[in-house]
Amino acid sequence: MKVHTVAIDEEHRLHTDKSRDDMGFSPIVDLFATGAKRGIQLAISTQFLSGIHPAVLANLGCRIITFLSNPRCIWLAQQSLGLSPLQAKRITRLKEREVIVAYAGYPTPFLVRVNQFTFPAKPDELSLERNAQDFLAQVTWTEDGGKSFEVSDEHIVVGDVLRVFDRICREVETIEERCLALQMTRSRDNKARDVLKAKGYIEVDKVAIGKMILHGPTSKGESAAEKMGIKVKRFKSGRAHEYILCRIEKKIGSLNTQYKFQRHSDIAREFGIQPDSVLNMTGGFRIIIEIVCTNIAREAEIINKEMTVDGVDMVLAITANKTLEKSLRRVLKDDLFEGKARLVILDAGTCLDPKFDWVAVFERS
Amino acid sequence: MYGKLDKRIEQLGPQVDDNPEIQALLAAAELNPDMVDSIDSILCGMIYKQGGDPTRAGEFPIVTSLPPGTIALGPVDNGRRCGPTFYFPEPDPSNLRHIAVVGETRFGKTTILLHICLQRMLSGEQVWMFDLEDEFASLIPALPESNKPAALTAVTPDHLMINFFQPPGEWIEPRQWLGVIGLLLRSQTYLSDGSENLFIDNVLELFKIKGVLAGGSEFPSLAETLSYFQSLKLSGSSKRGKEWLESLTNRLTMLVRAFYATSRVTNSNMLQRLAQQSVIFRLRGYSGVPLRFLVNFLLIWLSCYKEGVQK
Repeated sequence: MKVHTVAIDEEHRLHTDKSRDDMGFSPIVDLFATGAKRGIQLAISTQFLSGIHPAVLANLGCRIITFLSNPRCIWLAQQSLGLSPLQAKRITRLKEREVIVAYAGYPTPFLVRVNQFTFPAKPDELSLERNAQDFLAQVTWTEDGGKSFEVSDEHIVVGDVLRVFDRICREVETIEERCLALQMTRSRDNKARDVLKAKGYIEVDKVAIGKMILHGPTSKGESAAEKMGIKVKRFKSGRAHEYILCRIEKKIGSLNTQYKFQRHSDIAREFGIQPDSVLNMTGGFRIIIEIVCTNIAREAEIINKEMTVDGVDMVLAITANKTLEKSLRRVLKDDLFEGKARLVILDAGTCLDPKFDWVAVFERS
Repeated sequence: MYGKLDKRIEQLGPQVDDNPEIQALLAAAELNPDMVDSIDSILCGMIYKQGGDPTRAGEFPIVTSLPPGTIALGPVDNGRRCGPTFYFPEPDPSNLRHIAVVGETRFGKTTILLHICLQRMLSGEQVWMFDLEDEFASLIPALPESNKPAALTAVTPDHLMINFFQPPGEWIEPRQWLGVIGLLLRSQTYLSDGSENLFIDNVLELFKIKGVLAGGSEFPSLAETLSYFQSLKLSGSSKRGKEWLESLTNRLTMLVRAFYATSRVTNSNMLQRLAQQSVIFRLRGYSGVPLRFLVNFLLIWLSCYKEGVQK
């Protein structure tokens, strides 16, 4: 019997929520329980040991644990691998490429330093498409000819067009980010957007972020999405505002895992304002992040107030583009204020560049 | 005096007392406690050289030998020194064991999985990889030319020219396979029991119309099935029956939309060909019901296919 390996990365993403999972049929669980008899070996990676079905755990021959920080996950790993309390403590101290292995052929768990595996760069989309087409050339199939399928207006939004529309409704991202997420070439995304624009379902966001373009659904698109069962994400402060804030938080957050962001903070309640985000850095250093996309005069007023808030060391004002940055600087220069905190004004196009040096911004403080 | 170093100093005895460099380090450690860990490493190395066990009591055991095999994961950590390399032995078909890698993000789960897949492919096995984050495609250039292009293909759901109603082989009756698909549709798309029965009964009707039950090879396509249910009028049925039909039509619409390329296929040998080689199913961008339905369909298909091949 020839062995067939099935590898599932991020297996937890295939889990349904608990209450619905009890419908009694899970091919993955079934494969773990009986797949070995049919020559199928499963290799999965998952973030949650708690999500693994007992039938799956019972049929595992090799359990590999990397770093975990959640106490419940650690407890489960301890039980599953048969670790002593001291060994379990090590889970929180595991470094990158250090794993604890419990192996069916060995009586005790042990620690392994995983070799440095380097893989070549991923081929580009065109090469991958060629690879798939080469394979498809060897396959034969027949189709129903399309006579049976009534084409209604809603049904036109299918395939690439549907995937792009679904993504535009659910996520705030640039064209490049969407192409990457959907594994699509830019031309396919363009074609899909052309169809959606012709139907009046999407529009370009009015606020330009440097050279980046964001798309969002029109009101007609929103009602069409609802009919199709697509969830439309709505933002109180606009799509560009949300995009900049999310990306800035992600960029700064990647500098240090200890940095904590707080949205809806009441730090400036006495002034009747709520900062977009408050960054609490190590050592008690606190920064207010304010995104400026429209209404410069109002935003300048808010920034002035934020600079006088107790316990704030810096106000980081990020404008959507350079034009807004200049306007904000002009307005703030004309204003008289007695701020306690330092003010840094940046434009999103510059500071979202991967080469932008955030450390230098904070070091100056 | 030196906290956790005391035991090691005791274990090494005169080797520490007579070593001026170690003494100087210990003196410095009294002023700077941050040095304790570094000195601990040095002392562990000395103990290991002597053939002793530097592992702290209750921590991981010294591993001196492990079964050799095909995939080297890395050396076993024996305290401060490397022990034997841990291998995944060649899978024994009579006693297959599954593998799970568990951990938080960015600690190497995917890399370990990639390595396992690559080694399995190099040893001539077929591997089906479900790539939800688009990280497996780098395996294509990693394979030597001799293994390409027949050995590994990367496909997205847009390339899957398959028919969900077509059984994996002649050993499964179309009626029996339809039962499996009905169960899968119910469990993965949250259909109620009544809808499942409605689905099976009516697709069986379609099977009759298409001549599948009389040995025909053209199965109803997903789009045809949707059209059939859209045109279905449940005369004299209860309110519940109408709800079942509506929810069933919604689920089928969802699947047609998600797998539009596949939705018109009536018969194909694609999965049979994919079962003969390694495949990366590139599923990034898919989520929720369509993702779960497709992955679970492919798993159950492979399982039934392998079972049939064995028979």
